[in-house]
Amino acid sequence: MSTNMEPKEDEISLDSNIPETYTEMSVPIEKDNLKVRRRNVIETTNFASKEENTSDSESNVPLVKMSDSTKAWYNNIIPEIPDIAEFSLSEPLTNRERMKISVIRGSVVNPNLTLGELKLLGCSSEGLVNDDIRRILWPKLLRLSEESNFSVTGLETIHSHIPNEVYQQILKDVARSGSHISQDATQHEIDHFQEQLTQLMCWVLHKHSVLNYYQGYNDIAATVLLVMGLQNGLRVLESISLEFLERFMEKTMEKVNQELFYIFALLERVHPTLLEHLENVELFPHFALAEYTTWYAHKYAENRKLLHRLFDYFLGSPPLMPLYLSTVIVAYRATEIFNTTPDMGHTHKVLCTLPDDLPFETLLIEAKNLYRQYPPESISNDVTEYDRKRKCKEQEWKAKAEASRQEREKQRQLRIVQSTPRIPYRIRNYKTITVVTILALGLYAFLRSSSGLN
Amino acid sequence: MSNRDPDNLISTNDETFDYLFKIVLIGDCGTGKTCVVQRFRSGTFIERHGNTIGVDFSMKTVLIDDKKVKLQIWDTAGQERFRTITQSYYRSANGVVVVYDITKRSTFLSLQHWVEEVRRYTSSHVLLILVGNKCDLESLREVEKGEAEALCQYLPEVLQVVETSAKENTNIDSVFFYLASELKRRYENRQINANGDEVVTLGASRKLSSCSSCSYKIF
Repeated sequence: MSTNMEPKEDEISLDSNIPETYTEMSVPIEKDNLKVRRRNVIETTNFASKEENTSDSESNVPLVKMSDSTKAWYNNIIPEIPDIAEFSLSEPLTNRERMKISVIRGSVVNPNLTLGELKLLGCSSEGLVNDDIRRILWPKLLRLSEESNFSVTGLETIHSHIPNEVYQQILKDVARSGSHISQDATQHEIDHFQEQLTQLMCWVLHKHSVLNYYQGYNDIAATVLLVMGLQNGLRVLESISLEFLERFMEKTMEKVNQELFYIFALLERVHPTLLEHLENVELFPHFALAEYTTWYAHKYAENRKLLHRLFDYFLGSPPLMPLYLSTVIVAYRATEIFNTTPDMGHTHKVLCTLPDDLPFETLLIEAKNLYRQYPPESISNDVTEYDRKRKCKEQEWKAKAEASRQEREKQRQLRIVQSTPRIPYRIRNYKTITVVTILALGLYAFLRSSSGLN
Repeated sequence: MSNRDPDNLISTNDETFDYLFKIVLIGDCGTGKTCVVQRFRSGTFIERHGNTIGVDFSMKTVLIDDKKVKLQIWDTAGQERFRTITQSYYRSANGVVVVYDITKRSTFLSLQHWVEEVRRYTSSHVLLILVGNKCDLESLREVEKGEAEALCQYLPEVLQVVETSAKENTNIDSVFFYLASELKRRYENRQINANGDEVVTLGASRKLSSCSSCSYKIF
């Protein structure tokens, strides 16, 4: 045991900035203590250099609080957007897309471009259009500093630094992330993708031990990996996790459970009859859970073009924006919902199943307007109230379940008593007993009296 | 003769049923809950099914003794942190299917925990079935059927243990048919019982002298 402790101390002395998980991480690994120890030592040097590299970006103001008038280009380095001719295109560009690309190219060269304007490029029609542009502008949207030589080694063994049960969960979900890669990928490609996806997530989770893995994180990570590649994806996923996903990565999902009620609070304002309908069928806003926590990456994994475009939008929006988009989509589908069998299950099912032909560009604009009209702080009281009602309801159900359990238990005990009567059935009847008793007394009295006579 | 829309016809057929029961699937991550539901509902098997986030809903109507029994099936996420969300869906469940993976001992060891969960959030007359999935992977087996049966001795609410394979379509239908017919049978019994003295009807009380079932108390 004491030998196992050594590398830990080593590491602490090397780097005071070490994440808290460190004390936990060698605990779940029981086998091959020696091997683990060696790995730790190798990693130590890598992480020490890495921490230095990123320390400046970590001291930054959180992205959400950053003013839109901040200059978009960090250290005045203007990124270069490749020419359309250099793009790796899977399908030909539409005219609108070509136009958008020239708008992006035109805007980006402006040395005084603001962060607000950059975000607008991602949010407005067609988003950033192409993954080649995304690779350059996503890090900018996240305010990541320029580091051409940023690379992390030792990713192959990074998983040994996070708790084993988390790693096992990640492996399960990564194995099920198949929908993110194309149908005709070879086994080698699949293995490679899964390996990188695991490393990507483990790296972020190791670096930030306060972040708890949730099912769906793999969908976001897969999308980042596909656009950015592994090395560039590391800091992008890290930043997305810290700026946007943190709320999903707390110890419990309680916060998310509450925030989903933004959808109800917003529907109350934009479509009260629909909200009434949803409340009548006793629906919870859980249908939007996956949309919210994965930025639609769980649902649209196979529709990469749309998915990446949505990521452009969310990267340039506040963290609660997905809830506004969900609201707009629900309102848009009102007729469909009213025509569905009015019960919780069917309604939940319909709302969970997003059609492929939603007019997203229009809906994205509507969501943005809705956000402007009812910013989160203006409706947060209602959200708390909805959540309070939910908790009351759940408490009530729990109490009911408990009462019914006790009632059943009582009846069962009663039945046990009934099923083993102490007196045979025939004389159990009250009347029978009375008659028998009287007869017995009579007989006794008669016998006594007759014997007395003798 | 009639101009009815075939789509509507199907949906109206779907709407009619004699019994409606709510079934909830729970169990650890990756035990194959979604695959079990998928196999039952559509007869297909998707090897790499995405993980379930929150809850999924599906339904299927089965015929039992010429009666249409509609099953509403709620498939839940296995990850611990979704528990706060999935708990809301146990409410008014008639049947619960707890799934474990016969090739992963840890999923079997969690069963006790899942049963506790059921006890806490459902009414007590809920029917519970244990399903050991992935029984096609015999060579990787970590849990013997006998062990599961032994465990049931300590869990009185468990009705049956069934080993299934969603992949090879082993016993999947029978789990749901068994559950459906058992629920139907109990429901009918309850109706018969309701005519007897099990249900207390207010204002219809009888005098103590004529109460036959409580004589043992008097004596």
